Amino acid sequence: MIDSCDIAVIGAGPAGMAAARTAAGSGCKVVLLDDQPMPGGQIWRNVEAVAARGGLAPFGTDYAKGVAAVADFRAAAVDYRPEARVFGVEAREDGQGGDVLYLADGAAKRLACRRLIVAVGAQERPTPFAGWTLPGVMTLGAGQIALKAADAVPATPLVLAGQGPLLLLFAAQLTAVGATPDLILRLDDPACRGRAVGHGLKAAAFGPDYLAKGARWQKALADAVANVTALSAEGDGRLERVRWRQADGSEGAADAAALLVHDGVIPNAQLTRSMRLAHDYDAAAAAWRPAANPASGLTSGADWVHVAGDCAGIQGWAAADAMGAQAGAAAARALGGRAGVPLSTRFALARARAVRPLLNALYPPARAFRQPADDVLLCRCEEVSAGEVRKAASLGAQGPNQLKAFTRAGMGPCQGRMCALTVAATLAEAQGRTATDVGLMRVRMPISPVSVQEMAALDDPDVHLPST
Amino acid sequence: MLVRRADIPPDRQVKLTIAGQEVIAQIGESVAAAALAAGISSTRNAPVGGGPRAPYCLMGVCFECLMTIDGRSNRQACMTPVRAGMIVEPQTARPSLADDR
Repeated sequence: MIDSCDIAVIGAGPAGMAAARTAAGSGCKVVLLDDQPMPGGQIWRNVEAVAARGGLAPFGTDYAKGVAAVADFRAAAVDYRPEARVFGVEAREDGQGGDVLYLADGAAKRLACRRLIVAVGAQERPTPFAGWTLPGVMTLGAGQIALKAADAVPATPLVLAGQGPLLLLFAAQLTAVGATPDLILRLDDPACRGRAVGHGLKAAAFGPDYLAKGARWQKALADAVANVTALSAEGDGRLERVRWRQADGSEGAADAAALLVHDGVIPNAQLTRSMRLAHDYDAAAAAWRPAANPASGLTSGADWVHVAGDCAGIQGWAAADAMGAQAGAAAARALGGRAGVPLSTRFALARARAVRPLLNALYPPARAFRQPADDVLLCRCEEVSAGEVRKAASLGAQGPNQLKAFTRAGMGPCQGRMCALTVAATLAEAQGRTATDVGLMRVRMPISPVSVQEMAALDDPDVHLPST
Repeated sequence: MLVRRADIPPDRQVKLTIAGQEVIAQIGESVAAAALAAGISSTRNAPVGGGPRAPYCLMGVCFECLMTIDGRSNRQACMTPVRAGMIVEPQTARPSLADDR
């Protein structure tokens, strides 16, 4: 028997939950697959459990909004499947939708759908610098996930290095739980503030509460070291010391047991890229995103696939919630269902989107990671340095795919998630080309690890998996 | 490495073994978080250069937390919720075919 539905949604963050809820409300049969054990995505990670233990307060009002959003989602007539790891999507040859391939309970499974809504969120922008593979160095997002999901804080001395809203938010959250960072290194470029003024006025008109929130969080940066342009981590087998340089050439160092680094977020395009959908380079956000209709999220690459939320272009959770509702309604309508979104949803989307140009102007990719020294690893998995990539560029590597053959960059287990952007940028710079011209390395299914044994169960229910 | 803010309530505890060490973790958290909170600083060695590595992103992106969980190699510890009785081993040597059944 074929497991099938009208609309499959991937991801249980704000966009995926809103999409599933809206589509289910129109009477469509909706299945939502998510790789986490609980709904909420990264923004509302573990929010039900945190609320149950009375721990919401330090995370702020936006996190607390997840309680209602998750409850609404749970109440909707959606077939919600947690701990389901999607590893690929196949289009049907008859043009009627496709199959989502995923891993759950130790076996590969197939879910047929007529419409697919991809709402897989964001990842943090890769930050190559000397020593970034040392144990003790993590992303800032990892630190926040540990606080939400395990009620744990990084070891001390704790150094944060980064820029953007998440740096401000997490510094404030750490202070709220009594774990104020020992040192904050600001990687943002003060020169960007002047250029951002015009965007600031527009953002103030549409989202005054958002700007007020930002201004409150800025207090967390009162004692930060500003205008940092270079960063390195040192230690014997684990992080012991952080070194930095500021724009005026002055240098500093501090002992550290944990260093959390953050340079903004980029769309998680691994799945849509593996599907060969068209992607555009968004110069303002310095990232690639799937080409899609901004209202319905319908991709230009496949007329049965929608994208919603940060994976369609970084806009934040409020926009993701609205985009999810719009994509869910559009997909349901395409299948003959009656669905719409209230006008307030469209206003919310416009408001949320108004803030983005300001953030893009304030926080372009940090100087500290833009031109890594030759000995800095770009590809962590295969340990390929920036110098090796530059050498391959000078030998005439035509693009990131050929560069794989020269260096193996991007061929390790993360499949380029941690290096595709920086390898492409380094290649582009070395050859005097644009990001669009160079493109990104190809992504292939399976996009997450599947064993042969697990795969064997895909279309054969008689395959019994021996327990180990 | 991580430091827990509070003791885990007895009804929320899960016991598992990580790197030969008995670890008490909390229901719902990942194996990677449990390892870091137990003071295990490195969870594998890089197959190319051999250097120590540890969970880096905790959300399934970086694949630095690959561990052998209940006999299966190359599992993402950050995407695997803790379960009672789990046996989790670091991956310290280059992989070989003989390691996998």
